[in-house]
Amino acid sequence: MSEELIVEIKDLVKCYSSSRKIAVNSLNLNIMQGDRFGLLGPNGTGKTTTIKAVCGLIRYNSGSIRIFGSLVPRHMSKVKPLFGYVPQDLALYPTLTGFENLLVFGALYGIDGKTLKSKMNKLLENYGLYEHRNKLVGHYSGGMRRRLNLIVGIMHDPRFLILDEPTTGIDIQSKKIILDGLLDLNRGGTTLLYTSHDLGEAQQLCSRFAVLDDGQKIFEGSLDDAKSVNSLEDLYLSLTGREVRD
Amino acid sequence: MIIELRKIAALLYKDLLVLFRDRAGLMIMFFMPAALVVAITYIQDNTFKSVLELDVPVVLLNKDEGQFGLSVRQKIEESIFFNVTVLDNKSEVSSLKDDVWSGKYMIGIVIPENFTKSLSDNSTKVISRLFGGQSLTDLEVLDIEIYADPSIRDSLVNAVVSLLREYSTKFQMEFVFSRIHAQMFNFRAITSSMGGTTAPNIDEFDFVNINKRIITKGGIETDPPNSVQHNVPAWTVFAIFFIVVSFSASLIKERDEGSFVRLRTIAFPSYYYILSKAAIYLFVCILQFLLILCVGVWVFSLIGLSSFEYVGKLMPLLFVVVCTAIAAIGYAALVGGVASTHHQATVFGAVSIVILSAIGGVWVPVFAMPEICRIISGWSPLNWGLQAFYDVILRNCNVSEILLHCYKLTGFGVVTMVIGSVYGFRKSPLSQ
Repeated sequence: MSEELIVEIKDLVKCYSSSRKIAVNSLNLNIMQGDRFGLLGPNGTGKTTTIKAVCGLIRYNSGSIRIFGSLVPRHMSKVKPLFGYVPQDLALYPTLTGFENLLVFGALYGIDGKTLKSKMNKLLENYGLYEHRNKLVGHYSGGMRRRLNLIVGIMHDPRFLILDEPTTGIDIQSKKIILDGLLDLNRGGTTLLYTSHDLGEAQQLCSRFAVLDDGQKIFEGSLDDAKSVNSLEDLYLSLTGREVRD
Repeated sequence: MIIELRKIAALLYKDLLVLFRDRAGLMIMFFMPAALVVAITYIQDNTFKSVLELDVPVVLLNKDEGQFGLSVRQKIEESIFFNVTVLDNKSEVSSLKDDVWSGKYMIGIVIPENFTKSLSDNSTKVISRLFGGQSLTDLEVLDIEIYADPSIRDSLVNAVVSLLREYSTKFQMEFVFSRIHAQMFNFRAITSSMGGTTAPNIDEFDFVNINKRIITKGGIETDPPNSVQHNVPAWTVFAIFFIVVSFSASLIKERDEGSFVRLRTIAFPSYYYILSKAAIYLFVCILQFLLILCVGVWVFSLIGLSSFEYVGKLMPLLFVVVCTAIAAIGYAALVGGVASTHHQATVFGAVSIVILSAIGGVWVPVFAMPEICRIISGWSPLNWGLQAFYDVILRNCNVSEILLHCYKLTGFGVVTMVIGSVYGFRKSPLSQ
């Protein structure tokens, strides 16, 4: 059985008019069904721009992006129900409780009442938030917010999940719950596109990587494809150098 | 369809919870306008009766072709308080009344036909009484009618009444003394006539009545409105527009916190987002109005002010509130869309509402402003809202008669909401 192509990026170019900087330059990427794909690179090399373009949040200058065969952003309404997005910002309502946040987003995903409640309870339980479901999110710890942020992104059972630094600034326990949860999702058939600066975490989670630098792809493959490196960090530093990027 | 309704309900639920858990925002929207309307009305209650006002638009219908009419016209034209328009003396009183109740002029003065001649005849009769002992039963009562727009302060109408009274008295005296001067040549007649009768009462010389009438739709007379009838509509409009601060801040907060970006990745029409907020804030505006209404009706009487009178006008008032709220929500969407930061939106939103309310006539009546401000005032949505409220409260207009103001308010609201939404959507941190 051939693997389904989930994301196809062809010759993607994005230039920001405000800075006149070419953020992404002729990028080509294919992400297949079941991939745990890590998009890595130093700051300002085009990772977040690529994620935004894939999510249909920005228009690009040239090239094309197809998700499940539909052109983005033109056919975004077809694509939106099929993917989930976990942004780097905690995209939650701090004056609503965890339960209320899930209720709102679940209804917006179009999940019907009974299914939504049972799904919410299950996810809150799985991610250790059930006890805290009636607390305002503004009173949650950083780790709890990150877990809830993930739950919101996956509650409609997306086939493709985009994660932009989903574990930034949290404790080891919360990080472990999140990574275990993501691996579980992947085992259930969800394809992951993940960005992070935590290379240890990326190595633990991802099966394939692309490294971007200066808007261009400088590596694509698995760690096994890179010869004479012991870790993802070694590979990364050998590709991008040790100079600080600002 | 059910799924779409559920999505709309989810957005409404979210906006309602976000709004009602923002205690500071609620204070701004509910407590502050209520406190403001009490404080301002209380403070203005006395000054309302004595404030010096300038350049009041006055219309004069002088049907008298004699000296009195000409002199009154000249006197009023010379006054720094009035901006006088003189109608053709063949104009109808009814058209003057229509111009006054519709707000085109604040005060209308009607001097009847042959006023000077009648004044002269009466003076002659008074002198004949003085010198000849005849009775004064055939004196003609002369009426000068003053019609006032209900939105004008009573002190100003009284100033016009006083001016005309002073002038008519002076005029009568001049007539009387000119007749006395003529009679002085017959001194015997004076002494013989004074011998057998009592001295005439000076009040008998005053045969000019100046009738002050506050008129509403169709020329129907009413009592002069008090400061409460002015202040409740004015501060209701101000309060409704003050939602700009909270509404625009909530848009920017969602943009900054990232939830707006997440919402954009979820499949629902983007206009649901702004319409759900608009629906919640429309509800807020109606609550604000009802709160201020309750304060006007029940609290004012407790602190010695007149109660706000609205009986029979609730439905037209609610209609005005809805139209004004649409304008305010649209403007808030525009401010929230254009502003880059929470700070920009709150400062610009608040200051712009104070400016628009000032030029819209909330603080100072439009007719008392310099000419350039009067012209600009016609472009302030707060002025449209205020005029619609005054039309209902003070001029007894029904819904069909305030439609022009309401069309302007609604049109402004829809246009600004569309521009603000498009701008805000493009301004989203990810849409560069």
